[in-house]
Amino acid sequence: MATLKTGLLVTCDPTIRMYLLHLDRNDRSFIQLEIDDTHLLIDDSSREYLVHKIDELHRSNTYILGESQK
Amino acid sequence: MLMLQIHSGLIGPIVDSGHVTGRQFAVVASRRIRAIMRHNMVFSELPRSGSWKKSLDIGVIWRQLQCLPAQLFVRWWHCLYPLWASTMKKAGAAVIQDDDDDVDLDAIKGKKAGAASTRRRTEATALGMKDFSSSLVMKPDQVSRPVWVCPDGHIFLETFSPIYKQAYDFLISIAEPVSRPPLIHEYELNSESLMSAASSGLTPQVIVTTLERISKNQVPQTVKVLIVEWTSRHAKARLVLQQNRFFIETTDEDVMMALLRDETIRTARVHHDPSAPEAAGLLPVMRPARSSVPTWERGDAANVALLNAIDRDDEDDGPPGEEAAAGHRQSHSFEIANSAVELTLTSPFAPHKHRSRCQDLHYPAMEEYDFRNDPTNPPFPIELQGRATIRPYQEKALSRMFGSGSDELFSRWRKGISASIQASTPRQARQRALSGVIVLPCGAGKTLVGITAACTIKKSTLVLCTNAISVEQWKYQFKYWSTVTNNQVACFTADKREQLPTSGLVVTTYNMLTFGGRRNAEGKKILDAISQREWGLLLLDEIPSLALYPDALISHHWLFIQVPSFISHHRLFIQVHVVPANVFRRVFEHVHAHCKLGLTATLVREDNLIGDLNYLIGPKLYEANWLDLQIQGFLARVQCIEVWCPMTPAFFKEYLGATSAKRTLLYTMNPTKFNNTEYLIRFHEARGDKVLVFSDNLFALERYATQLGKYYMCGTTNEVEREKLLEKFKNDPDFNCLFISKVGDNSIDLPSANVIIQISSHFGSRRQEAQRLGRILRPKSTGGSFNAFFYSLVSKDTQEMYYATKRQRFLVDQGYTFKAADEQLHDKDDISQLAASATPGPVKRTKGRRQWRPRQCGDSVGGDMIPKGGLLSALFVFSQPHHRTSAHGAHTSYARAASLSAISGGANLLYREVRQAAKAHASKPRSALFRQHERDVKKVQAEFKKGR
Repeated sequence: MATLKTGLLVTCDPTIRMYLLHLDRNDRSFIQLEIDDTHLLIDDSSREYLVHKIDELHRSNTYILGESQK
Repeated sequence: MLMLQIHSGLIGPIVDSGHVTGRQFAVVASRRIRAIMRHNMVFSELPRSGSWKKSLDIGVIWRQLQCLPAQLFVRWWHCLYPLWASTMKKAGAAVIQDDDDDVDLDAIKGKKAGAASTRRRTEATALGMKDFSSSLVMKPDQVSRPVWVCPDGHIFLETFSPIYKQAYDFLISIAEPVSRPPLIHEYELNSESLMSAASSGLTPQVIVTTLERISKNQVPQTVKVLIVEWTSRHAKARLVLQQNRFFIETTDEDVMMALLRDETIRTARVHHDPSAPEAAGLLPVMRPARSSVPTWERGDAANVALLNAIDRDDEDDGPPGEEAAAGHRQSHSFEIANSAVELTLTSPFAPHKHRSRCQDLHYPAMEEYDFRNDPTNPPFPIELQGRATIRPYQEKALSRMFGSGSDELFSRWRKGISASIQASTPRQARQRALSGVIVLPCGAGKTLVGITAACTIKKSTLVLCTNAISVEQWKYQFKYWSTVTNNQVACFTADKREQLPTSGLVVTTYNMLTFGGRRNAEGKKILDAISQREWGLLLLDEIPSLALYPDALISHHWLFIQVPSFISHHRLFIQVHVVPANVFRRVFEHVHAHCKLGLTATLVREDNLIGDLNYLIGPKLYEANWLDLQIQGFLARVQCIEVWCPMTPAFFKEYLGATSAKRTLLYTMNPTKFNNTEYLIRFHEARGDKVLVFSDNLFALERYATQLGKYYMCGTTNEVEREKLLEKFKNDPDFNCLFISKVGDNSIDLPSANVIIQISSHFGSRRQEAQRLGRILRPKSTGGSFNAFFYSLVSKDTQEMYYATKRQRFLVDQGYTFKAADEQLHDKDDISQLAASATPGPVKRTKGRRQWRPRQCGDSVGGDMIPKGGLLSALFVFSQPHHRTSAHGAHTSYARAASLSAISGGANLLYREVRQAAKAHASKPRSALFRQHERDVKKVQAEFKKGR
């Protein structure tokens, strides 16, 4: 009997994939299946969380004139 | 609503960033937008902010950008950035720019950066953008005028206006440039800039009048008040040294009264007996009454018409009275007892005891040195050599220093006409030397300015540099440009101690003077000799950026800064120009100089000690425009490129889990970065350029250099080896690439270097970036629009991106644009050629055609590495630009840059001629006689054989 699970397919470059794996390990697990170097299958519900987290990553690495980080 | 002109073509950079992911685009876009903001500013009609609030979706923004022909709107900006900020949960946060360039603030827990400078952008809105559309009153002919004056003291200048030059000259003397990109400049009026304006003789009324003439809007009342208030305080009192007597001179009676009422000054005053012959008062200097508007150069017909129009309109404006006064103004002076000033030699900071008193009374006195009338100081007769040609901007800088504000007077003097002036008008045309700071870009000839100043003053000169290499260079430059002889020059460094001449030139380092520890006897003797002598001119090279750590320990001749332990596995031996504030003050304790000239390229103020600098040395006399110098050909045209190298997964994994110090190491040693470095080096060497690779991180420096087989220079390299390396770099055509650490940041003089690759740098230091760029700013003779390249390799998705942007602020403000290169620079099938291609997993090998082999010295690079598409091709216009197909797409043509032997296929072949001469000679007999003889011999032989 086959079970059907829905998930989100994430296509990304290997660097961000590493970041997602890191989040998965340390923060909250959402990865259902690691497909290959550039694809992952994740939980439906963690979309906003991921967007937020990646935003945060980019934000911390971007210097914007007139704003102080942290 | 206010409408400026529309400038097209600026959307280009956004479109050109190629195929990037949405996130990357956001980053690129924010950078580009910033760059565009700097380049253009348009106030325009806009839909209300509501509709824009929803458009944070990247796609929508993209579409909007595409529709709008390169316009950026204040209101839009107003929404976008605060929105961005609020999504980052920083809404309403105080915007204090932590401008600490020398330290990773995030790493230092809790320790706020000393005096975090609240620099000019401390307005509540992001980027300091404010909407003045309601408060500015426009003039009817505003289109023809070039300048906006905003109520907060910021001034914007349009560079495409016909009277740009005149307006620029004026603005640069009253305001400090914040940002000077090609199209619109931004200036700020502040206390220091008005001080330098006052020092060059401009009165508040004149400033306001002129500003009113060239501005599009009526000058706001706040600005007028600001100008009048700040200017009137400065340059009221001057401390003049003439014939070994000190005078305080003012042009204002009230000021004089106020000063005389003060206790200290009154007791120090020397009263003159009117009958005594030698008790002549202070000979005043001719100050051209700047009551008239600076004469516009009315060369251009169009300009004349425009200026006439402006003048006609402004006839009614402007206060009368001041305009009527001609000639020099009445100046009052009184003498101060020399003995009071004599305390200067022994007590700390007393050189300016009376100056400080004046400052306390809110009449900061400026120092002037009447060098022609100083008989006590032994003269030092040096002249400029004939081959020294002073460029116009150098001339201008010097005229600010010497000409008492009059450019014309100074240039006439320099051309030797002044002798006649002096004869005819003995009371006028006195030359006085102002103390101050001159800011010129690296490679624009700061040394020559210093040397010319020394040749003008003709008194003993002391030159202070940052390290031993620059000491040598200054000495060499002095000998080259001026008539100084060997016995008139003395260098004083840790390794070399020469006897000081009685009146001459001494070159030494800051460290030597301010070393607080024990010295040997000889050093101490020389130091005492320096302290006790009166110097005519003190040249301060590379005015220090005042370091963040005030408690620096100075040990031996290295500046040894204590850093927190988690960084200390790299002990920072900083022998360069990061000199702390108190060290700097000690310089003035030891040295008693009449005129001080500070020379620097970057005057970024990290903390509020710039005020002290102004006081210690003097106001900023002149600041050059980098872009103008580039256009005029005095600086090389540099293309700045930021190459984004993605982190490899393994490295990124480590990065995510590492501490801050280790992160630095990881993003520096990124293999992709290594590949790109190698690629760029090969590419440029094949072009014949000289490449310098800068790396702050010593570990990275060694690894990169040894792996790529290049030489490297760092702090531990000894002097002999350094000189050899530099010599080789300059002259050897095969030695084209050199890796340098921090030591090369400022003083190494390499005029022939074309390309700089920066693989690791010191956090957010703008100065460092500017100094490194200065290594290649000397004008190059090679043709083409860009002949120098500055690559900054940054690892994507790491903190390095943050620091990279931070560092570029200064250069962006000077007008340079950083192009971002996101594509991989090398083809996928070349990856096997590159040394660091050891990726886990299968590596594509291309049909066994190119095998990786260890590099040998004689390898010709050939034409293999020219990209078939991508960024470099667009830069170099080899192949068709905008080749947007990816690396594995089909490509039709490509170009090769290689030696002829490589192109013709003979790269690995050696042509060798084997002598065939003997045989050829033998086959053909020379004359008929011998030919006959040959035939006979052959006949005989044939018969003989037959007979056998």
